[in-house]
Order: sequence, then C-alpha cells, then structure tokens
Amino acid sequence: MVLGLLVIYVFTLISESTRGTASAYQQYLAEQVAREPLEVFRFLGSIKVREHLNKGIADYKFNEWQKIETVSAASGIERPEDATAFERKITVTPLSHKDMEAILVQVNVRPIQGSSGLDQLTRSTIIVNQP
Amino acid sequence: MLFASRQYRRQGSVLLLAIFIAISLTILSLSYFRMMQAARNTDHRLGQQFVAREIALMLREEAMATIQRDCRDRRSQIFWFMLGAVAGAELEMRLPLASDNLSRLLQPGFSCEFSSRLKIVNFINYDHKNRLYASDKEGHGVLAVHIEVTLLDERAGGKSTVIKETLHSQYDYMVASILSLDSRGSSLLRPLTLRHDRQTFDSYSSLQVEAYEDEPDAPENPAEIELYDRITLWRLRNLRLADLEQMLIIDRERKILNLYGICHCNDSIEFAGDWQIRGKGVIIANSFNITGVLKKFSDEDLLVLYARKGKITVDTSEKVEAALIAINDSRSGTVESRQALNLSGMLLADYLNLDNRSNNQHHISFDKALLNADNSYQISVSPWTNFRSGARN
Repeated sequence: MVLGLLVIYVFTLISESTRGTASAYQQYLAEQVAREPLEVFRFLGSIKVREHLNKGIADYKFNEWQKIETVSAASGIERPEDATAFERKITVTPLSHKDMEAILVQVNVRPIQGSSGLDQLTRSTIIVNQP
Repeated sequence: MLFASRQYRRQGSVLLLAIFIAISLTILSLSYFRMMQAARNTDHRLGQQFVAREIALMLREEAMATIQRDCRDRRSQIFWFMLGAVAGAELEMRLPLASDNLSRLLQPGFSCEFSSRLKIVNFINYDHKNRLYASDKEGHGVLAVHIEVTLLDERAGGKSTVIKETLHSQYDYMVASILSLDSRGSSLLRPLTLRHDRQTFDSYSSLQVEAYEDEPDAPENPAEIELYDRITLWRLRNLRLADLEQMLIIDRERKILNLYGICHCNDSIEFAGDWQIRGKGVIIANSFNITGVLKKFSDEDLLVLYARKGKITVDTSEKVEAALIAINDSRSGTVESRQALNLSGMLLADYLNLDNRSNNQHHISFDKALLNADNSYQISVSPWTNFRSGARN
C-alpha cells in the first residue's frame, strides 16, 4: 500500500511537472506574441502608427482578434509553429498633453478555442512622438 | 511467546516505515507546492518587471522629446541649463504626459513613482585638434538622462515596493553659434565685404549700401577672412539636397525653411517662389539660385546662405532677407544679381557681379539680428543613444 502511494505520488509529480513545463512554454509564447507588436511599433515610432490608425500597419490589424501566422507576409517576421495556437488583438489609443503626442498600445493574447494553456494575457505600452 | 514478540517487532518496523514515508511525502508535497508558488511569484514578478521597463522606456521617450523641443527654445529651462553647463550639473525634469497617463499601464492596486534627471557628463570647448573655439559656450558635450521607476503594491492598504527599474542613457550634444564667432563676437558685422574686389560704392553707384551706427571698419586684409571653417560645429555634413528636403529643413511643399544650426549640403540649391524663413541657421552648399522672396517669419529668425564652390545668383527684385556669403579658395565666389538686388542681411563675396545694363539700382541693408552673438547659440542633441544601462530587454 505504501509503495502504491509512493508510486501514485511520483506519477502525479511527474505529470504536474510536465503540465507546468507546458504551461510555462505557453506563457512564454504568449508573452512573446504580445511583445512583438509593441517592439515593432516602438521601432516604427508613434507618428507612423498614428498615420495608419484606421487601416492597420503592415499586417497588424487594430481592434479585432487576429490569428497568428508563422510568417508575416508584410514584414517577413517569423514565428514558431506553436504561436499559431494563439490569437491577438491590438488596440491603439492616441494620447496627448499640450504639444506632446503619444499612443497607448494594448495587446491582448488568448489561446484559440480548443487549445489548452493559459487565459488571456495583456501587455501595454505608451510610445511618445519623437521630433 | 517468542512468536508474538516477533510479530510485534515486525508491526513496529512497518509502522516506523509508514511514518517515515508519510513524513517524506509531506515534505515532498510541501516543497512541490512551495516550488509552484515560487514559479507563480516569478511569473507575476516578470510581469511587473515588464510594466516597469515599459514605463522607463516611455519616460525616456518623453524626456528626449522634451529635450529636443526645449533645446530649440531660448525661453526654456533646459536651453539655459545646457548653454554653458559644466560637467556634473543636474536638472530634475517634469514629464506631464507620463504623470497623466502612467496609470493606464498599471494593474489595479498598484501605483508608480518615478524621477527623471538630466546630467551633464562632460563638456569640452575645443575641437579634435585641441583648438579652442572662439566662445567657451561653443563645444561638444555628453548629456545623461537618468530614469528611476518604482512600482508600489497598495493592495494590502500600505505601500510596498514591488520592483525598481533604472534606465540610464547618454547622448552627444553640441552648442554652436550660427554667426561664426571670433574673439570680438559675430563675424558678420558689415553689410558688404569683398575679399578680392577693390570696387568702391558711393551715393552715385548703382549699389547703395545702407550703413548703420557703430558699424566696424573694413578689415585691413579682407583676403584673410575665413568663415565657418570649424567644421566640427556643423550640425549636418555632406548631405544631399534630397536629405534636406526629406528632413523638412527645406520644406518645398509649404515653402518653408526650417532652420536650425549649420547644415552642409553637397549640391546646388534653388529657391523659386516665395519662401518663409523660420528659425536660425546656416545652409552651406555648392551654389544657390534665388528667384523669389526669402522672408523672415519673425525678427529673430535668421538665414545665412554660404556658397562654397560656386556663386549665388539672385534673379528677383523682391526682398531677400538673408546673409549671402560666396567665398572659396579659388577666389571665384560671387553674388550675381540679374535684377535690382534688394537684400536685407549682409553680403560677403570674393567679388561682386551686379547687372548694370538696365540701370538697376541695387540696395543692401544690414540686418541687426546678425549683431547679436548671445542669441546665436544653437544646441543640437543627437537622437542616437551612445550608452545605455538598465531596463533589460
């Protein structure tokens, strides 16, 4: 009986550990999927992003859930196959204070229905216009 | 009796083993749950670290946008802080956009404190050959922007620090006068100077030069005049005309010259139509062709056109509000006027080539904005980071 308990415990531990590793990997992927547009937009600058508020920029569409492609046709950015298990929604809000202008970029990432893993992840940043 | 004793001993051993295993399982379970809790805390901490890092980057961007704007504004605190600053000088910056909007990046129950400081790391007033500049305000420096962000957890009622993030960035900057200073101040003090031309102009000449009070005497040896020869004070060098247009220094669409500092272009430039001059600056190019109005937006604005390889052709009788310089080593620098010249500024050339065939009356008046050396300093801060530490990616 004691040995049986021990075996059950070890199996539970191994299965929990495997699940934890998978969850950490999913978390990591979601984090990268969320950070990608923030870094791209920071590189492009807020003026450029503001100019494309209505139509989206490259293949980043705004205010709608968008599936993740392994290769971006517009920008050539490559992503791992597992990233396609997520979808992403990007929201851009213009901000201003006197003559200083900026944008608030909010990225929500969630697993596509049927995929196992984490709940929704949100990452945001503010990008200020550079003269 | 003996059999019973053995049975009790065996049962005792099993009990001990069971207790030992139970204790081991408990310890293992506790350690596993602690490990899971630590993993969750790490996830949470990484999330907060991301927020702190993004706030630090945003603060730096606002600080840089403020510096770029204010170093062009003589009424700003930053301009006067940087003009004549010595190594070690510090200035606390206010960042109102961040103050108003930082809460949008924070999770409920968290708050943020931040500070942003400018520091002059170094400033030298000599060039790469150790030659001192004419003014000790001119020179090259390194400016540091130091950002500190502290995230606070207020969920339990008090304030506990969750994470601290610092971001330290350094940028090169330059202070230069647009009046090519010498030991007496501005070098552009006379309405008309010819380096290799002995023509004289009096009240009967076709060229009328309007003198002003306290005008300095003509230099004894005008051939020795050298202007803008300290190229380390040029803000932009070896650009093409298309670059100036792309940077909107020459805004052809709106016909505006957005001037700032000394810009060198290795092309010939034509100004056709009516142009507005905004800001203070020097455009150095191979040659210029002016066929329209060059008008200052305000009295403080100032334009200097310097042709280094060819001539400046003025083909308009409209008023041109600029200092025109056409000098070079081959002594071929000239200002050629095809119509009645109406210049408000100053003129310096190797020789003069005015059209006299149609009895044109040419006129040069001195622009007193060229006298004010104190107002001629321009501060340029490089947008490129030359050192950065903190706010890990």
